[in-house]
Amino acid sequence: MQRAASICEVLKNMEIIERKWFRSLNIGRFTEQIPFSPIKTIGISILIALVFIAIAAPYIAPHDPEKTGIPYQSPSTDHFLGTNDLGQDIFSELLYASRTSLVVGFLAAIISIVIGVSVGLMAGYYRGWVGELLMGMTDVFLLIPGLPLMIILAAYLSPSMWNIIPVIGLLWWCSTARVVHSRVLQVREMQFIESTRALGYSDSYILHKHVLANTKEVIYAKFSLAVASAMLAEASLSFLGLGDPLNISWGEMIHFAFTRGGFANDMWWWYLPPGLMICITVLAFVLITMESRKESRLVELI
Amino acid sequence: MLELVEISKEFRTGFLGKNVKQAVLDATLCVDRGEIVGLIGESGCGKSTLGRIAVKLLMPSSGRIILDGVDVTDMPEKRFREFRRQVQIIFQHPETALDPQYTLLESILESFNKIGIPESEQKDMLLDISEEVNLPLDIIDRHPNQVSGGEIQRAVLTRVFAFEPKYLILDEPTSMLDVSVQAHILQLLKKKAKQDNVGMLFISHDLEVIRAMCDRVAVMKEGRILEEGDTSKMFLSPKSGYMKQLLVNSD
Repeated sequence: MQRAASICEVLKNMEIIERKWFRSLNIGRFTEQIPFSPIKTIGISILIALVFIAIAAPYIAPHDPEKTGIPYQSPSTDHFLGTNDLGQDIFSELLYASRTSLVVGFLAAIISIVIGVSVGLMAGYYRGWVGELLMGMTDVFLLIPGLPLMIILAAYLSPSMWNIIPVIGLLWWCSTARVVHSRVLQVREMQFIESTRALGYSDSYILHKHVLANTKEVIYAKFSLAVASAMLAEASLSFLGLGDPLNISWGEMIHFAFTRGGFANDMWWWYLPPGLMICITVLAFVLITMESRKESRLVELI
Repeated sequence: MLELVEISKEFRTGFLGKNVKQAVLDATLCVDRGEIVGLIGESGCGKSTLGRIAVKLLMPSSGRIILDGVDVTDMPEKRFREFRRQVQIIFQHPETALDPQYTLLESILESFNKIGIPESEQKDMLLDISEEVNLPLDIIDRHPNQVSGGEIQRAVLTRVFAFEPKYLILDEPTSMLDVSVQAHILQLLKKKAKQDNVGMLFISHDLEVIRAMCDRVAVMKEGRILEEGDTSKMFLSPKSGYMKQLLVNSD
């Protein structure tokens, strides 16, 4: 009787394991890991809307942004935001400009994150002279005044989007490196790192599976902020007239409004919308990062 | 036999390593299979450092680590990985013992995968070991922050026992657990040592636990091993003044 009961027990356990196995290997967990948060949802929705606008610009723009017409028109049903000095439709231009701004923002942020994370990870994990050297380099880069150097580089290189992206990316990685470095220093002292090494796993496995996994929320947050600051940097450069004249961005629209009489004639429908779009996009990225720290499992241990 | 011969370890900090801290000095200790050796001493006396050196998580400044007759001290990490399976370590703080990003099951599977157990056999193995260490199976899909310290420590034991280690370094494995859980885990470890012939180095500052668990005891102070001997002898008639003092203090 007792034997039968114990067999029952084992079978029940088998069933439990079977279920857990399935669940733990299932991607279904991915969604349950992200708790619902209204602020984040707003940020993500704004972002999805912006990406949709950028992709679908040719279909939703009422006019061809290059087509000229009657200049300096006020907003009307035909031209929602009036026309500029060449008679081009500003609303269509605004939609198309989101493409440049987002592409520059994302690509520059990816460059800066890749550099920043690798430097921070290596410096934090290996410490010693490697760490000193890498973090020393980071400090030097941090000391360089970013915007003036960017202006000089952008002025010397030809004004193309593909030059602006690496210039911003290469100058914006330092703060990511610092943040990742300090988090890695915390993580590497935890016992699960030592016990994984004691199991016989290699450094690259530990870095990838444990150190990076516990740094990822910092990286996500930094990425999101990097996109925002890359877009702001691009807007500053463009506003100063160093942007790509073939790919109009929001910053460049403000630049043209400034140099071609938009401000002088008080045409708010020309200079205000691109500024607002920059604000909204940056806000969306900031909203996404806002609550991520609270969700971190690691932070409870620190 | 796991032998630590004249191990010294110094930590250098500050500019160009100016500040030297001698953590361990000329410590010699050996652990035979099936034997539990206690290592006592106050916090900061270097006992944890010695434990980490025994599994080569730290490199000794001088001295030799000899594992079953093979000198593994200067063995490159890649070659030593084969030996890692034989000597395992369990740490003090259960809350950071497992990666908070993964469930207990995922952490346990990490060790199963390291040994290369095929997926079809993993379930049986998990059933076996979890029964041995009393790990409740309904919690294995939780994250470490959702279970108790004792449960984490059992999961850690599952992870480590899968390796069938010949030697285990226990760095105060139960000091953060409550008394009843502590007793369970200690019994379990003692049984494991005798049944499967596992040599254990039990690091602790709790004299009662050491007395109950160990066959032999070594006393450590300021990096040196002062005295070593059978548990009963050490507790009844200690030679060193420090051990006497410890006994008086604990009473």
